[in-house]
Amino acid sequence: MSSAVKPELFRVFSLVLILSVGLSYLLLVETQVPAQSGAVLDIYSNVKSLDSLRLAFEGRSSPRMYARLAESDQRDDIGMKTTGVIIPLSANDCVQRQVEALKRIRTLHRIIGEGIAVRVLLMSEFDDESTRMRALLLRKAIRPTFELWYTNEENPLSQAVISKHLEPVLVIRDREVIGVFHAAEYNRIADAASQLLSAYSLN
Amino acid sequence: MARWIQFACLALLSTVVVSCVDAQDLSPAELQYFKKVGTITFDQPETLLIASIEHLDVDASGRLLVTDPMGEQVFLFDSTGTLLATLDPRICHPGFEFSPISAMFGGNDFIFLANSSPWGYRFTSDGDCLGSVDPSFDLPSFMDIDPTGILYGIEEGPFWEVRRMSATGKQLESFSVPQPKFPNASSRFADGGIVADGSHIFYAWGPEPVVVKYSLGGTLLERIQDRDSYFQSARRDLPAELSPELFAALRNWNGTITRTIFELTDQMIMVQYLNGERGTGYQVFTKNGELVAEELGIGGRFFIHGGFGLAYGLVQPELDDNGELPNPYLNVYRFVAR
Repeated sequence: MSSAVKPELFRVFSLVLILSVGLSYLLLVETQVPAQSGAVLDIYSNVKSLDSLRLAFEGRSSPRMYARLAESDQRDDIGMKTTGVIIPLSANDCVQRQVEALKRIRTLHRIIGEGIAVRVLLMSEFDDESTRMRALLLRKAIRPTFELWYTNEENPLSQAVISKHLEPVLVIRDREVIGVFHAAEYNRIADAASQLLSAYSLN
Repeated sequence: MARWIQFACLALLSTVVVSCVDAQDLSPAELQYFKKVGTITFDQPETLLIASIEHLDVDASGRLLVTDPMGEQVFLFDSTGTLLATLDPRICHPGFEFSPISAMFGGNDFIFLANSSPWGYRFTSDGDCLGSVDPSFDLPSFMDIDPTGILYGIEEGPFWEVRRMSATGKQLESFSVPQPKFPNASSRFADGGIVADGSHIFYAWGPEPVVVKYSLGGTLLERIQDRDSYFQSARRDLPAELSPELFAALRNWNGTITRTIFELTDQMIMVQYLNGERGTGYQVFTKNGELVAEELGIGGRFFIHGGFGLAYGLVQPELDDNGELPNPYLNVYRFVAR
């Protein structure tokens, strides 16, 4: 191979390389950016995981959640009302799973301190009256240290909780969701709750 | 997680839909074939708290086996509601994960507790610990115990079979039954049941208003049904997966559901139904399939149990002045043939 051909080959090789890198970058951007923005846009219609719940709620205003308190039927927006912890549960699950979940929450409440407000929200896709009765019966069985609310409003959270069996815990301070955790993450929830206590003491 | 608790959780879908219906009893005036003969309130209401009675069994002498899954309790009462025993396997089997589903009398010899993993435990007929069930026991979708203490269970897909088991739950034999018309709904619904009377086996899946009668050897003998316009067939099955589409399909389910079947007397089977638009109903058949009594579209009430000629209606009173739910009680009705 002559010495004149070598630089020419080098130029062609470099050009192909640059084009390949550029094309790969473009392909990467083309596939990733829409997926990311799509995930954000889609989050409220199809919540699939705890990560997507975190993406949807953490650092944002607490979501509006109109619910009724089991024993009095008082209606309120507990999302806006709560500084503390909201734990949505599926009212459509089996009794055994609900009882176990409420026992875990009772333990969690002891760990984070009963001074922190914990509001459990039973979410159902069915009629109000059966959900209210389920909430009252569970309250009777568990004797909870926390409030038991119920709702049958359809929203992304209820979809995640009911159809995906997620057990999220929302820690809310000053109408901002400061953390979304799995119900079993006792230590991390306790850390977040201690931030609430700090905020109280600062105030 | 074990298969039964998964089944129980999923199967509860339909129970949730109708659970409020169970909370209040029938009004006696509404019934043509049942006469109210008594009320049973349970002992020591101040200290003995019953959250919810999800299953009731009654023996020939009227003793009551009450299963309270929410309160994680099983009680044995006499026919007047006086507490005879509290059945708790943890007393004699420390570490037992007690999560009761139902407790049934095994004739006069034992009590079988169906539990959410481990699947079961056995007690004497007086409520003392008897021991573990056979390690191979796998709780079927529906179960009954015949008068000789033999267990019969019907299992959903993919097997669709009837199992005959010893008193400890060890499988003795099984035979296949046809896959129901709506297999997904049959698996999802907690409704339906099985009756084993020592001579035959009767079973029904929730989505189909028909009782199927088999010989003990597995020969299909009869499909018991007597339909009018109250009985509607669903257009299609539920989606297989747990999804928003499933809940939408459940809300829109328009077929008549077979809620429960009981051996009302030694000659008769009682079947309770739910029609979404027209309400509840029941039919009483002889064991040969002859319709004896029916009331269809009578409102939103079910009996929680029937046997020895009696039917039991569960009543959950409303909140008391302290904002607490009082214990439920039972109204007792006698079947009156015309």
